[in-house]
Amino acid sequence: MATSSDDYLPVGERPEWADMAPRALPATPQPVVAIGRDELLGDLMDYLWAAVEAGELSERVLSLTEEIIRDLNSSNYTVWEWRWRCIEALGGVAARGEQEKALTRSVATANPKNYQLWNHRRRLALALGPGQAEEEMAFSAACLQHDAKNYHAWAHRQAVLLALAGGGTTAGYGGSSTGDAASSAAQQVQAQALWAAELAFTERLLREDLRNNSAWNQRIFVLRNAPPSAIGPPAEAYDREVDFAARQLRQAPHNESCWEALRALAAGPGAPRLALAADPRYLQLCREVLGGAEDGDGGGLPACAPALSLLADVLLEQAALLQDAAVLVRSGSDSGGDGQDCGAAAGPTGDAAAATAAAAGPQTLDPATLEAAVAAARRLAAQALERQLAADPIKRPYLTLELAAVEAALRGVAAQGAGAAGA
Amino acid sequence: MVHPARQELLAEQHARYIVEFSQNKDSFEYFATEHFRLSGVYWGLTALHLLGRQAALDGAEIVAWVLRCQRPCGGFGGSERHDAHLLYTLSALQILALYDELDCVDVDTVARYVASLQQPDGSFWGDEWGETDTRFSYCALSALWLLDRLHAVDVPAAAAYVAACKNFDGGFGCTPGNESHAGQVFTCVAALDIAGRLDLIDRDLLCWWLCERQTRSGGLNGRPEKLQDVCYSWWCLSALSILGRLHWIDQAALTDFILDCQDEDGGGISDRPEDQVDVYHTFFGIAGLSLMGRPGLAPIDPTFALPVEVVDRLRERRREPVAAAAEAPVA
Repeated sequence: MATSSDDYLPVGERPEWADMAPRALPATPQPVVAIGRDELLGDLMDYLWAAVEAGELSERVLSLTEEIIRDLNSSNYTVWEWRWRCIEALGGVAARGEQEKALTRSVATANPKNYQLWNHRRRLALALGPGQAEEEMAFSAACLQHDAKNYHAWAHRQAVLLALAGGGTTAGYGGSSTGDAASSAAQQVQAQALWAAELAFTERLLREDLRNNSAWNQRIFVLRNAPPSAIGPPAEAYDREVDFAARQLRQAPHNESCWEALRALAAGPGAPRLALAADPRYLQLCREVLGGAEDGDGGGLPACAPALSLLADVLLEQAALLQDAAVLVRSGSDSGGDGQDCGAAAGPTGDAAAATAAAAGPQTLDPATLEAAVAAARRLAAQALERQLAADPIKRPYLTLELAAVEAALRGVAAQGAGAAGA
Repeated sequence: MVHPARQELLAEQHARYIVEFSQNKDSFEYFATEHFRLSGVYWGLTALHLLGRQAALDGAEIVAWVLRCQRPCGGFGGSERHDAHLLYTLSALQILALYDELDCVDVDTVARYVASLQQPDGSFWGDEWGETDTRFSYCALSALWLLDRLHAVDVPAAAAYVAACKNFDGGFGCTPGNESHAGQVFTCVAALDIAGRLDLIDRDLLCWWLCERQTRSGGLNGRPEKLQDVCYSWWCLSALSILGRLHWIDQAALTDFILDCQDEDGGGISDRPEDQVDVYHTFFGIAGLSLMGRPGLAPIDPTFALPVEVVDRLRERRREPVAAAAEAPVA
């Protein structure tokens, strides 16, 4: 297509447009908003407006939209929509699939963050159906090769997976109903393969760049939406993913995205209740990354701020667990009954506290010991926060508040507020 | 360290830059941005308003042009010949609100257009063609609030859809499952604020995530492990402000970062120091400084992205009949 005025043929001189008068923008002088005239490109738009005005859906309008999208402006909603209408009127989406894929590929090469392109491509993919899924993943992957954090490309993958491979919890929103389609065995196999491949895809991108937050998010998305037949039962998937994230962390301990992913896993499906405290791997990982220096001065090593942040939360969660246990034991001895009866009254963490109590055995559980353990965990958390403050001074306003909350809890003031400012 | 020539807010230069940009109509860029001209005008005008220099542009002509961008369906296109879209409908109403000219539109027609875009799951399409995005949820609710027609849509369903876009980190994305992004966080938090459902937000978790967006440069990024950019001074700060946690970030460091992104010669603000300035970043830089209470700037409302004075005027006017009714003797 013509991009310079040298080889540009004005639309009015093209035989196929001879019967139509262009619709130019009214020339009203305005200091702020008067539309400037680019003679070459304004010409194309004037004819498109005329066609839209006349409601014309034809081959010549279709090619005009392509010329505008390629040469003038690929972000004009009206042009894309008019194009879609032309396609539907001229034999339908299936018949024009290849042409539309070629156009969107070309626009994606020039401007991969264009909203309209991705909207067009998603409509196209969903209209073409499950058989199109693999090609869409390849298309998106090609875009991610140039910018591995392209938001649109990742959103496209999610939309395709939910609509064409059948989704989990988020499928109720946005995804089209493929419930019937997915009922055939062959399509179920394809769907499983797509979800499993997505997990592998994120792994590949993380191998290229461990700090790719979009890839981490996609992994969490898969875990929350893929059927167990594709990724295993939730508890098993959780276990495997924590190990996976831990392995990545050891390679780049300062990688914020990976720490966020760990927190997501702890709060996600398959994780034990109060996972940060209940699953020893989090504490172990913090210790490992911090080089066993968390009880000392750090020895002048650059401290890892996100590790200290997670460590503080692990310790505060432990304190909360122990506090629950202390309340439970105290009320148990007051009433003379067994601790489990009081579990419900101890709040949402009652079950876990009861489990702690049961595991420790009744004879070792005296409230004073538990209170001392709570205080010890909080003191360690406060130390972690102080070190985080030193490592990441720009977070001072927040961390100062967090630290004050922990210290208030240590003094017995507003004990419920401990960690309230944190995650 | 802030560049010595950028220690102060260069208000005069910024106002001149915005006015000159608005009047340079011969560039390819100016033509190619026709489809979102209404938003561009909104950014420039609001920035001028915050700078106390709104008189630099001719309000009557702008209002007349805005009205010409309205389509028969009630919505507004990005400029005169463009199809209606929620993005530009909100920009149009914001501009009219700035000039206190919302009476110029037929409120119910616009409200019907907005309502026609709500889907059964509570989400909104941006236009009649089906793109869904939490940005549009915000545009719809904000537009309807400006029109005092919030009841024209299913507000609880709108809030529920936004809440479904909440992620493990407390942040929000475009559609359920999409990565948290600070721009999207603003639209979702402000939408929930308008819907009266801030309780659906995991406040502490989200605000900590927003604090984590501050990098050593003092500037904020939009996602973990991405570069800082002046526009997030608005996206992150507005959400923190709505949630009452503005004091959780280092405001002095952020102020220095924004000031350092000024162009001391031609005026305007860029995404990062020494980059090319544009109206978008100029507005978001000034808006961020306004949220932090910068002297010399009018305060901006974090939910509606309009000067507080404008939002207060609308609130005040709505209270009057209510107050009168309350005082009336019971028959």
